[in-house]
Amino acid sequence: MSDLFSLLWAPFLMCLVLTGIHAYLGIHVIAREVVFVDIALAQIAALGATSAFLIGFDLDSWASYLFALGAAFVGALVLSLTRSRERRVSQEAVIGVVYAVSAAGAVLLLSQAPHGADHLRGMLVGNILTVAGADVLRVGTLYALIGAVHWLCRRPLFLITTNPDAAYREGRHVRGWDFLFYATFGVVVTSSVRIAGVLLVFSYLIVPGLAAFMLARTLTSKLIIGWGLGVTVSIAGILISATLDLPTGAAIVCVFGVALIALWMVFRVWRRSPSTQ
Amino acid sequence: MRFSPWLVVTVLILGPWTADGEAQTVRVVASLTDLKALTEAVGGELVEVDSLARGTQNIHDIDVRPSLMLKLRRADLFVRNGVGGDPWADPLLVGAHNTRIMPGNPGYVDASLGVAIIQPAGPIDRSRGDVHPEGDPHYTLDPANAAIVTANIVEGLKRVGPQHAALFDARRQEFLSRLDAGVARWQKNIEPLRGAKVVTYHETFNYLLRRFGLELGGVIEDRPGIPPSPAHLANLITTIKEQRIKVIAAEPYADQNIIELVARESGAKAIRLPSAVGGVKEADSYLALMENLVSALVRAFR
Repeated sequence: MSDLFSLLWAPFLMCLVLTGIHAYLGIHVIAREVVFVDIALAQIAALGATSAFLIGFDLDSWASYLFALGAAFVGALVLSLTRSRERRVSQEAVIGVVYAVSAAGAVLLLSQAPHGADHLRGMLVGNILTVAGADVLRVGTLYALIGAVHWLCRRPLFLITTNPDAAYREGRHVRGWDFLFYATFGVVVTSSVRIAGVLLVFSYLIVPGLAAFMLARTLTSKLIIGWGLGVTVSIAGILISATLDLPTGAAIVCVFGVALIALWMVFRVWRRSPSTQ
Repeated sequence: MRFSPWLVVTVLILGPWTADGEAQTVRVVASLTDLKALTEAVGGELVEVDSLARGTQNIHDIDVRPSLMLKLRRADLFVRNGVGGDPWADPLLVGAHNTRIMPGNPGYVDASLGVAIIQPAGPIDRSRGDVHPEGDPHYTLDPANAAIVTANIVEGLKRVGPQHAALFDARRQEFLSRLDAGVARWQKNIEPLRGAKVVTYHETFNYLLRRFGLELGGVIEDRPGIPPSPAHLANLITTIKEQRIKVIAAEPYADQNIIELVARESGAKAIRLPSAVGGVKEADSYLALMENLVSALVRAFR
């Protein structure tokens, strides 16, 4: 048992780190109706790392990480520039194009590489089970810094997310703040996906936020619900993975799904009860 | 059977102690199934072997369950393929926190030591497709390499289980003599095919073809994981027709649609070959794998 515990403590702490930043960012992402933005930014970051690899840098090197971040910033720039006040086109359509083109671009680049697609898979399929204590510390520090930036800029960031019209009327530099949002988001997603894989990162981003919007109105209560759900699901998912011997990431994702269904049923009963009384 | 929570707790608490109690057997984790099979062949009931990959898997899609990490953590010996055939095992090895099986320690075996690795022809650069920078990692498919690989494994087994040294040596000799008998028989069966060309899906079977006097006529997916370009497929189909290549041999995980397309257009016959122990149900040991490969090739050319 001590063996199993010592294997799983680092993944568990990493899940808490992921919960901390993603449940918060998820609230932005759901309010902005851009839920697939993480997958698009992860894919364009993978494209950046792929070009670094073709130039001759190793996939684990700093250069590769910088290329990935640079590409994610380009993606952030595209997303912030394509935003218009009238919103004639949904941002989701742009996100879809960014995803498809960067995924196809990576295939074209990799057709020139000796090992082919294996390397791209390495970019997008992190495994939460192999996380080490040092990773938790490194990523935790990075996310704390990004969290601090968001805390300092909370007023404009939330204004643009929840009420862009008001932001335009106040004369705020909407595109600039938008770029800051997507750039910091890109940093988080690039690191998270390398660690935990696309599926797990998507779940940590969307499910807590969805539950929060279902149950709460104010930002504080949304955050509390999101973080509470994230922590509960992390614990349950890791315990289930350990006792039933299932792949850890997939187990957590499925527990997220079950938790969401359970919350939804409780919510329906709770909303009906006043009318039936 | 219903799971009682108390049973689970009891097993979790007592599990490690009972495992320590039966220190007789050597606990081995191999990266690939061929190495698992060869370790079992020389270790018999003295070893307990698990494989990180399954035989049917493309070795680049490995989904790790906690039990496999736990087995790595408790293993006395880790046997790996090396030559770039199992780089995904590295993070698992780090994650398992078991210093005994880390590179440089007694519990670490690189099975490729001393094997003559097929090197890619021409200079290695990133513009060429299907080139493993370290050479071709599929060396266990040449039965002649089994002697070197099992020597590496037995050396490792002796380091961690010196009390069984004589038995390991004896079992290895017995296994090799059975393998030699097999090789003589297989060579006789496949002799009529000498010089015949085979198209494969990836360059997986180079060692096998070379050992039994066959030649590689081309590959379908020249860059693993990247769909072949139309020009490459057209060239390949022309080559198959011109050189009258009769057989396309594909790994269990290869894309069925592309194989059928090439077979239909070129008139060659497509067969599936297991690329590792466990790749098909019958290939459940190293000898059974070789038997299966040779007889499948002989049947295909009939």
